[in-house]
Formats: sequence, C-alpha cells, structure tokens
Amino acid sequence: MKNLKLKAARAALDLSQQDLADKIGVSRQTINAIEKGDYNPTINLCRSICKALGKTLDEIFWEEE
Amino acid sequence: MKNAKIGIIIPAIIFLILLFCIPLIFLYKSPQDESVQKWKNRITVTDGKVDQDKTTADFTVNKAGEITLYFSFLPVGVEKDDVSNVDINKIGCLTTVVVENEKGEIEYTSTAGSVFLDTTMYLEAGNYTVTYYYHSDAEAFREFANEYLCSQRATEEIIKETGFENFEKNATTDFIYELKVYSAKADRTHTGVILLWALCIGISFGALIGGLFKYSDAPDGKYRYDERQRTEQGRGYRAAFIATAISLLIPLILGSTGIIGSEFMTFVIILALFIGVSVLIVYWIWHECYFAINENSTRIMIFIGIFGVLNFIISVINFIGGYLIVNCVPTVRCLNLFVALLSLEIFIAILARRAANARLEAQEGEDEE
Repeated sequence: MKNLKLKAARAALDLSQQDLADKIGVSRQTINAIEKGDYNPTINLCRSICKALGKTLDEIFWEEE
Repeated sequence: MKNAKIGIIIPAIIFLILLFCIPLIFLYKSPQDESVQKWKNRITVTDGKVDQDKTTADFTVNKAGEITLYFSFLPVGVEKDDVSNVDINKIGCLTTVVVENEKGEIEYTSTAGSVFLDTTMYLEAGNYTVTYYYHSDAEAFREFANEYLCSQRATEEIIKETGFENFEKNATTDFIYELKVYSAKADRTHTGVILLWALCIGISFGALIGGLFKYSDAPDGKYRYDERQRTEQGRGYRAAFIATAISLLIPLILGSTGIIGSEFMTFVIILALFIGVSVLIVYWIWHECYFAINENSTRIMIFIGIFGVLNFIISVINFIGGYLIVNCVPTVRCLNLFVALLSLEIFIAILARRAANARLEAQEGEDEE
C-alpha cells in the first residue's frame, strides 16, 4: 500500500526524495520504495524519517482503519 | 575499527599461514615405499611380425596389503589425455600386460594398444614381474590368450574389436613405459591430507572474504548500504544460491541416470555458476540495492558493453577455430560466451530499470500536479 502521508509531508517541506534520503542517510531508492509501499522500514528508519520531517510516527506511519 | 581489524587481519593471517603450508603437501612422504620405473622401447613391425616378443620389468612389494599399480605405455609425443586418439593400426601391434608373482601365478592382465591405467589389488610381500607381450596377428594372440587369459569368449571379443587385419604390416613406434607401485592406503591418506588442506584453505579464504565484505561495508560501524539495500542484497544471495543449487542438482541427477554424459559436467558447472551470477546481478539491479551498478549505471553500461563485445569476439574466434565445441561437447572456453551473455543481461536489466524509473517519475510528476 502506498504511503501517501510520507509523500505529502515531504512535499509540504518542499523536499525531493533525494533531499530526504540525504538527510537521513539512506538511498533515494529506499525512500521511493517506502512511498510506493514496496518496503516496510524498521522502527529506527521510521523514527529517522519522522525526525527529518518534524512529524510523529502516528502522523506518517499509522494507517487509519 | 577494532572489530574491523580483527575481522580482516585474523582470517588474513590464517589464510597466509595455510598458503605457505601448501608446499608441505608436496613434502608429505608416503609411509610405504613407492617405486617408479620409466623407460623407452622401440617396437618395429616388419612384414606383420614384431621384432620382439616381450619387455619385462620387476618390482618388489615390501609389505603385504592393498597395492596400486600404475601402468602407462604411450607412443612418444602422445599425452595421457590423447590416449583415446592413438591409432592402434599405425602401431601395428597389440600389447598385453601380465603381472606375475614369484611362483609364476598371474595376478593381473590387461590388453590394449596403448594405455595408462591404475589398478588396486591385494598383493603379498615379494617380488613380481610385469611383462608386456606384443601381438601383431590374431592367431598368435589367440595362442597367447589360451595360455594367459581365462575366457575364450573375451579373447574372441578382443580380436574382433582390435581388427588385426587392419594393422600396418611395417611400422616403427617409440613407446615410453612407466610403472609405478605404491600403497593404496598411503595414497588414500595422501588424498585425505590434500582434501583436509583444501578444506582449511577454503574455510579461511571464506572467512577472509566474509570479513572483507562485512567490515569494508561498515568501516566505522555504519553500513554504506542502508537497511533496505542490505535486506535486498541478502534476498539476492538467497535467490542466486537456490538458482545455482537447482541448476547443478538437475543435471547431476540426470547425469547419475546416464541421460547426461559425464563429459558435459564442466559445461554444466559453468552454466550453473552463470545462472547463479545472472540471478544475483539482475535481482540487485532490479531492486536497486548496489551502488556500483545503480548509481553509475551509464558508466557501467559502457564498461559492460565493451567487456561483453570483447568476450563475444573471443567466443566467435573460438567457435570458428573449433575450440568452443569439441566432439559435440562444449569446452571450458564457453566461459567467454557466458560472460558475453551476462554482459548483455546486465545491459538489458539496467535499461529496463531506468525505463521503469522514468515511467514512475513521470507518473509521480503527474500525481503532484
């Protein structure tokens, strides 16, 4: 399932996938895979992403029923 | 950094120690005596008659047990690998090797035009004589066989297969004879020692490569690849391992049932390795988990393209020269063809990945608008 919240939060800060990837020290392809829903990140990576975007885990990774 | 040093330096030291120990294998002495005799003999056939009846050599077994006898009589200039190509008709005579003990009892016989073979048998301690008898016509061979060979049927089969009537009536051939006698047990021990060394060297080499991979990837405790890339790399290794195992197992099973001949095994092993490497690289490219390929794809494509074309040219030259396939069996030179195919695969995989990425980016652009 696509992670549209992550994509929206990134776009809101006017960050490209590469910018976000550089900020948290992963590859652009990994950010792309998370946004497409092809890869489930570990909790450590989720926390790094949330810190970089100034969001909480719930805001980015919690799926509403 | 401390871990990195331990991870690389210790396997490296073990590897180097083992590497320097390899010469010790050659210093390994058999606990049993080994005797080697080598000599030359010219056999001349004139008007269908051999100039000599036989040649003899003696050997001694010091201790009763399983003894391996190695016989070789090859025309000068013929290597062991080419023994099947020796034309017995040009030699003009057939040879029978007979091993007798001190009492004149026959321990072993073998008949051939030219041969190298080893045989293991139980021999009592004592002196033995090896005699090479020469036969240029069927009747003389039949007489000889009545005395030395038990089965008349086997004799007639040999006569039929040999085709004495096609023998050259006048021929001269220089043979090199070799007779080696050694303890079979010692030979097995020797093989065991070599296998043990090979195993130790293999393990330490694996540890060295593993250490290099592990710590070069994480020089300061931080991995160069992120978690997704490392996970995908692991999945790639798993997929490649399964592909290689299947590619090897199927032909080996077919080989054991006789469907695939043993002469194809070199080709089968190269093919299995090729399939394994292909699966690994294509998996990594498609899942974008290897910097060297994914971050510099244009450079990689140029390099791979040149490399592939060069290997393809070598394959074509080998094919035209008749080295690629000999007697309907692909030789080890098919490796060049496989490398060319692998290069083509990588090229296509990178192109496909780039096309898929371009499509996704275009789609994302539309979504954002």
